[in-house]
Amino acid sequence: MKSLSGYILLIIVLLLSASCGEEWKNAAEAGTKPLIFPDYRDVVIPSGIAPLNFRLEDEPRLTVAVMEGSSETLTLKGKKGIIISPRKWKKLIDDNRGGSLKVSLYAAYNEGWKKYEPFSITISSDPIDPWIVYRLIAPGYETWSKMGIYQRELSSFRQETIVDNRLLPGACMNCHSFQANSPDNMMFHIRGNLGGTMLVMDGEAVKLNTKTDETISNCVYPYWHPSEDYIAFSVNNIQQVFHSVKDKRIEVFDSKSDIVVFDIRNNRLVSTSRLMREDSFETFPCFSPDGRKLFFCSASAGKQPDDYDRIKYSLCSIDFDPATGRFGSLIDTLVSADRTGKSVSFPRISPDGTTLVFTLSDYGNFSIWHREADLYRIDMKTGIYQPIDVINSPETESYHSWSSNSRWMIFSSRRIDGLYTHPFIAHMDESGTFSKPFMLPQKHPGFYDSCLRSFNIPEFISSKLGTDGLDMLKIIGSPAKDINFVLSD
Amino acid sequence: MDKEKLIRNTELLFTGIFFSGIFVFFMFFYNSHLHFAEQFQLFLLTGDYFASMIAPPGGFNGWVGEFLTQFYYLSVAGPLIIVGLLLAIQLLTRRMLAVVNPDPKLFPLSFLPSLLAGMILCNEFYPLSSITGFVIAMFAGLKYMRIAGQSARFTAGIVLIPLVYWLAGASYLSLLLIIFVYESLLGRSSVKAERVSKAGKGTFSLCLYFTALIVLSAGIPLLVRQFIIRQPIILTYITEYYYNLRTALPGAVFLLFILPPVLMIIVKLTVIAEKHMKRALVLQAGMIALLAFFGFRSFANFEAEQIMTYDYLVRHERWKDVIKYAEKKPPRNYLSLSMLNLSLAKTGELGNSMFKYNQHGVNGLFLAFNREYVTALMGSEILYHLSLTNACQEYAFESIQTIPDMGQSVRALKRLAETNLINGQYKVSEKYLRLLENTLFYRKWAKTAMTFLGDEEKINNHPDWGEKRKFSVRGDYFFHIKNIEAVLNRMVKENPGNRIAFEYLMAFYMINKDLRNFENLIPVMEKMQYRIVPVSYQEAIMYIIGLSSDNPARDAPSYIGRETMARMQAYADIYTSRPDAELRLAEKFGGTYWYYLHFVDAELSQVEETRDNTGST
Repeated sequence: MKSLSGYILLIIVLLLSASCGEEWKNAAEAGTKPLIFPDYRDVVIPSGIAPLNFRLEDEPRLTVAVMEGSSETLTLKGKKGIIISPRKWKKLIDDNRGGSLKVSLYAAYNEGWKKYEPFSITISSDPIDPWIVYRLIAPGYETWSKMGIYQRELSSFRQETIVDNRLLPGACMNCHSFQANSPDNMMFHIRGNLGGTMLVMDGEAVKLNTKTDETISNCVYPYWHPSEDYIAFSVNNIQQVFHSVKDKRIEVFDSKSDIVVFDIRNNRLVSTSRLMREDSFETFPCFSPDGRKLFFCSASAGKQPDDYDRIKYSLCSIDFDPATGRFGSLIDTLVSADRTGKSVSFPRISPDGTTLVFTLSDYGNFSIWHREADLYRIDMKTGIYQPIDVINSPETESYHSWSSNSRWMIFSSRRIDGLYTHPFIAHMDESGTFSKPFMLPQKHPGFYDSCLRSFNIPEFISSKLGTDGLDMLKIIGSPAKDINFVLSD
Repeated sequence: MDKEKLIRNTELLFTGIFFSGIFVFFMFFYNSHLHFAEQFQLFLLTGDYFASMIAPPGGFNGWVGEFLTQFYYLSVAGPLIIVGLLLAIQLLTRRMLAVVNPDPKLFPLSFLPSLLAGMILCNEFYPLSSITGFVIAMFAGLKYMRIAGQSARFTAGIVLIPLVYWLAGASYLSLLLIIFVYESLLGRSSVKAERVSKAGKGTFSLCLYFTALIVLSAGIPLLVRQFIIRQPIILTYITEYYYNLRTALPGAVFLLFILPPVLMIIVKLTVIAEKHMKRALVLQAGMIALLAFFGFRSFANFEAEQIMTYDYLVRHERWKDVIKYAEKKPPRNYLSLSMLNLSLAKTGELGNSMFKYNQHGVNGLFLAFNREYVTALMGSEILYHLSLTNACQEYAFESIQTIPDMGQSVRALKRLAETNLINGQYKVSEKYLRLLENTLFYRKWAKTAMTFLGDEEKINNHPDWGEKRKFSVRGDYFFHIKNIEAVLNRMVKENPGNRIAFEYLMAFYMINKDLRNFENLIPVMEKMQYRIVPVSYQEAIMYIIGLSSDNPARDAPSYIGRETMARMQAYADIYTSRPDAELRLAEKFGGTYWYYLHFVDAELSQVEETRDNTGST
């Protein structure tokens, strides 16, 4: 008797699952492409990326995804979205590297099953750096709660803490930077009681006091020289104010700013009067891949905050001699604010030197709070610049950085909700053409819905960072080492 | 009545009185503290939230504490939950002590941990999880003590220490002490030793066992710190969810942790002769009563309770109740005063009644954000009702960012959902509303609010959100609370119908005794179509007229009431003729603007704020 009822139950279960399993095949054509979150439709991805888990925006009762590669097909079902087995995903994208996947979605609604038009996911044969580093912090005003700098493995969902304010209560960490995507050479600033600039080279950490009598502030926005010898910084007097109208929140601007270069071996800041002018603001330095040119943003100085929306930055460059640490005598203007009527920030040149991407906004330099901010690329051969339409959105696109092979760019965008910045990765081919970006995949499609922190300053690194805050704890707690300043004119 | 029955009845009576007292205290004298705790957490009823909570050591206890704290939303639920937990502690202690010494005459001692736990909950920095964690450790301790066989007990100890560390966090230290003391006492007892012997001792020596426990207790947190969570060494041991200030040691909780083992030693060493039974019971009961009296007096903060009550009533827009409460408990600080002034403004009474209460400068009107979460949240209420939506949003956001335990605030998040809805930032609002949909008590509100997303007409017709949109700031400027006078002037100019902004501006000038600017606003007031001009405005106007007229009553505009004129005459008679005028006027005219002008110091003309105004980059 007992075994009979068991058989009946088994048959019922099999029948139910069979009917559920077959129904979607008879779905009615929706006639449209599906709206999915994150939007992975027609994107180009690297093979070393974690499963692109997603959900349909209109939250059907059940979703079926059929992912067809060149030789195999993955069929997946999910109530709250499509969660792909990492093992099966890895095999699928490894097998289709250089090709593409055709993804067909079927969704069960109260009125029945719908089949959406398929979309593709192209798997580039260009490799990507295996880890990224970002800061997580709420997009707040003056104070901060839980925050830290983290590293994330791109091929999985593993995120590890490098340093956070659980380990360093009350502290704020920012502006992490790496030398040529190398995890061996890293720096970041700490604000608060333990304040200082942490420089970690080959596992050896040192804490620096980067404020000198000759400079207006501690070092702020960094860019590491392609060699291990220099880091360019801006020094800024930063102010923050809060808008009153509904479309704007925060304005961050400089009332003074200059550029200096930290000569690591000689423990000194070097600069030139051409980068420390009273009548102009210089910020956001960036070295060329050969290390012989320093790009930066420059604007005529104004009275702040009165002139906050009239100050517009041009993209400029000056020669730099790594052997002597001296600067050239001329400043070139690559993108003139007078011509664009807009303002440049965050210049970042690809390691192969072909493309420079910058952020363009209506005014000022802190484009992170500017909804109109978009990414532009300059072809370094022709000097022609244009917006990267495939990447931009109606919301803010701002910070961006390159993979070590120049084929991938990661950038932060507020396109999802207008406030929280999220990391997106875009492929650039050899001709400099970008593809539609994809959002950093997460284990659960709903991750970003409940995440109340922004992803700031996403940076690629070529392997996992071996050092973390705990290893540096003693140095962080010790007094910062002073540095000198030299004007190289 | 036999002695056993007498003790049983005494115990029942004692238990009844003790826990009724706890309930009454938290229900009628300390309820606002519970509401305060509830609003500074965001407990989500989702599997993901549970999974994220239980990942670190002590996280399960944090989850339990937050789960129970969410019911503080209901005024009666909080006291009931506290009584339930304290009763559990008392019963567990009672049973533990009975294992050591079954003499029922010592039962009052079992109330001591509950008493201390109750006191701890008077401090808003101790979350409920500091007590639930202790309950978990006590439960484990009792289970341990009830294991007869030594080797089984030793095995249980080895398992329970890491288990309790992971589930409950710091309270594993209490369990460790319970085990040490119990095993030591057991070793001293010949009767028990016999039992141990029968159960089969032999695998571990006590010494080896203690060493193993110490290594486990010290080592597991270190391993956690090295391989799982990077954190300060102290936090590794005391874990989260025992004290909201992570950088400070929760002293009272440590006292609670050592109390059960200390009581075990006391009851083990105490022998009470039958003939001294009554005296012993009275002595113990008296001691508990004294400890309760002085303990609660020392732990409870009734000034904070008062502020929290003002805040709670304002949060629920119970404006009239705020004013009623002020009759019983007049504001004693800026926080309470600002909430009262807001309530007066919302009921149209600010111009009539504000000087009936002790006004102490403009900090009683607006609250500056001083990098602290309570004033930020209360300050955001004022800004919200003034229709300064962006500024309100800033304050609500900053409140979340400055919560000491680095958690979230369901109330602030709700406010952020509203400000983003008003500002048309629907995607952000939706993000917050989706989170609130996963809460128990805000789900219904969030679901309703979701129906407003993107529906301009519906929002514009909403009595509250529509009004905020109507009065929203049109011309941009940088908001700073120090410039509130200029801000209010702009608001009144942009939206002459924003009566609350107008009355706050009038109040600002009156409190500052700035009659020149007050006078400049009189034409605006005349356009406001007041049915009756607020009394304090009438008083101020009469005073201004009196400065240049020998007969103010004759020169007064028509909206000045006869009663005001008569009162002014009476006031002037005393003021000009009596040397003790201040004292005499205080009695009859203490609530008039004239009295404020003549005898009260306007402490500040600007909202006071200390802040580092460099941006987070």
